[in-house]
Amino acid sequence: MTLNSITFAAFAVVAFLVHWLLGVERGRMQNVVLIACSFVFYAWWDPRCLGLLVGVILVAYVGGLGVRNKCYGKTVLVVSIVLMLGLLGVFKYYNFFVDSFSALFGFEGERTLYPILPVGISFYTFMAISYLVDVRSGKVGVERDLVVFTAYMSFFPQLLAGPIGRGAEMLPQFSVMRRFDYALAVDGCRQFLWGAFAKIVIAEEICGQRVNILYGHFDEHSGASLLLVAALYAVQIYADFSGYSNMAIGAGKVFGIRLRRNFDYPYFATSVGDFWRRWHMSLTTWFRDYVYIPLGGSRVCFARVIANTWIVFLLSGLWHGAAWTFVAWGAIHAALLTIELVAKKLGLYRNESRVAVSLRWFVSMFCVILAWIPFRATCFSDAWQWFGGVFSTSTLRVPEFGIAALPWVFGFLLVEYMQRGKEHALVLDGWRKSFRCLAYAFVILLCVADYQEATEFIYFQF
Amino acid sequence: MLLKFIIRLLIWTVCTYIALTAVCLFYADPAMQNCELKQERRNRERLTRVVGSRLVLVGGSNVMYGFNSPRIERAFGIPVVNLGLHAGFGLIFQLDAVKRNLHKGDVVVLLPEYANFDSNGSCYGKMVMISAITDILSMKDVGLPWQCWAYNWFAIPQLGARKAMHFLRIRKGAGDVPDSWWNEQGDTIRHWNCDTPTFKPSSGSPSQVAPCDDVVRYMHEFKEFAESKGAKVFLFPPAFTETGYNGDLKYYDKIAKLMQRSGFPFRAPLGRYAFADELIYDSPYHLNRRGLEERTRRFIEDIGPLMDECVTNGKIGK
Repeated sequence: MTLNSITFAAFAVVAFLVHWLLGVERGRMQNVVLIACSFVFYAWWDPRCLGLLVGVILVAYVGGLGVRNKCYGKTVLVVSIVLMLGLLGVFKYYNFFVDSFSALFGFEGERTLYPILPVGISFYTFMAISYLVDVRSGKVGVERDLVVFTAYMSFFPQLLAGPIGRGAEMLPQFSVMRRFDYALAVDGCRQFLWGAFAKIVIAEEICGQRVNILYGHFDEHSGASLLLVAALYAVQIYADFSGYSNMAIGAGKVFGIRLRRNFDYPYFATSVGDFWRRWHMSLTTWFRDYVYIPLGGSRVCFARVIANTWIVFLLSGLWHGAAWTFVAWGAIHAALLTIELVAKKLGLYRNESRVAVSLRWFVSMFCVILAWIPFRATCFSDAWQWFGGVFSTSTLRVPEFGIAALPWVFGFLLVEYMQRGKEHALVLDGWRKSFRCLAYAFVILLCVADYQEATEFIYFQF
Repeated sequence: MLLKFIIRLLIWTVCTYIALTAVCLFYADPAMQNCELKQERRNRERLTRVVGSRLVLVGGSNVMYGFNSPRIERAFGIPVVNLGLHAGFGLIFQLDAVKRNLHKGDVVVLLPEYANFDSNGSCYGKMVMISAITDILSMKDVGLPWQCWAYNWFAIPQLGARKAMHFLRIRKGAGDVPDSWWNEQGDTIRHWNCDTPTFKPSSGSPSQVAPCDDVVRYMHEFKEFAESKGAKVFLFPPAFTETGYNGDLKYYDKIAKLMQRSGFPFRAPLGRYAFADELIYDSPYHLNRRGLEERTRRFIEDIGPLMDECVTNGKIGK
């Protein structure tokens, strides 16, 4: 069941009632209920994967008990991380590496495995790794209570597609008895509603359908339409993923748990670097804290900074999927960031006038939109065709496809721009109650009208 | 505070559900008055208007896109009423339409899409059926079992939401279509001069479920009712793409055996009405001109002996 399904709505109602009614004045029972609900939620996707989740939780828990030891702590840390990355590697990357190796060296014959790809594996293994490293470095205390730890690792709103939680922020929330917070729960419902709107209406109905119609028929459309649809895909993936994150965070709030923010209106960033400080923040900060900084971060020579940036973004591309197109997407962003770093070093970013900032915004977002092309494409030939169309003379005309989506896209982005200082767009404090209710009713109307069964989130494939 | 939250959430949910359901059931969407669904009213009017014995074709769009009814009329000398329109109406709604206008001497041919046999309740109809009832017909024109409404518990308010969006001009309706899309008998003829296939059928993935028993029960009930009125009922396979049919042979075989065991078998092998890709129009159940002429030919061949039986038994006159 996905967060935007009727089945999840029924499940969430039951989980909510059991959690708050059974868990009244009993903090431990609240966590037990959450664990049971989370396991049911995960097993709903594929019961075979539940063992994997339990395995990762146990490895992280046992590893956490031992990583602070002065004698063998480092060994425990390395072994635990290797185990978890090994699981990720087998389930997600085995076929990719074998196919690539075989293609490179001309081996023939069937050598691939066909393991199932457990949904959410990329997210919860990273959560486990961050816990172990943080315990080792002392940023977070060892969690000895298995119930608390399991509730934290398996918390169902974030289990499948993040946000990737950190022990320091979340373990204290699971360690105490939670009291029902009315204002938090109401805000959670509003955030969930906004996320549902972004996913159901913007990502699926407005953008997704048009992207799918055009994809694979590049030669039938002008460059202008191809460019417009690339932009629609950029909005689709943002609405899809930020929609999921808002739904997850909103659901977390209803259970009294605050998950970390994952998006900060990234398409209003004025540089590619700024874009990455606003996009999928839980992942980018993970790579910053556990890859970039250990490699030296920005405190090394300029050439090393560039190299570290490339390593992080190539890994980030690979994290998104076992395909070279994702690596290419990561490489494009690494290249863009390299250009920005060089430009900043040369003093080209000192001009803070409105015109200069607007120009930087336009160029940055144009590059980000183009970078989504290999991300969406299933193979390089499709990506080349798409690029070829975009960089043709037929781009200099009015698009014949996709224009009907523009009012919706502009409306969505305008609302987000107007609410950019708030955690989510449906924070309407200060509005009259009747107007607030009208706004909620309108968003609900759109969600109900456009709802479709069985649509998955793009980031589930990662 | 927990109770206050639960009550407020409940109020929002119930009020939204009631409001949207009321919009759906009591507001006939002007944006839908001249769309393809209007053919349902025209089909029912024809069924009322044509007197004497009729050959009534019942099914979804495989029937609408799949026959040359004037040719059948010439073959058997009996008027044909093609009631096919949309598989989403579900078989029960289609049977209900026929029940209300059944005469002695009628020959009713059921050609249900295979989707009607799915265990997800497809035979009870989908949102398009609710739209036909509330926008084109009226509630007094239908007498459906409670399951048809229960299965559409979400589709009803969802349709209400879509009607509200049309009213607020946020979205457009289905668009007007001309009456000339259909001939007098109810066949759609708009694609008769577009012989080039525009759809590439795929084999899809094999079904893992057993076909639904409910639809068998409803077909038997209809058959008994029709025979009590002096009409005859036959079951024929729908037109379908050969690629799709071959891709899930076991499932279609299950459907055939289910009907065989129930005592209401298909009167022709299912594979006989699985057509090659080049005869398909724009969906797995729609035939292009060549396809529908071939299907009509096979149908006339297969139903001929059955029609002779009906003549011999005095059911119809040529």
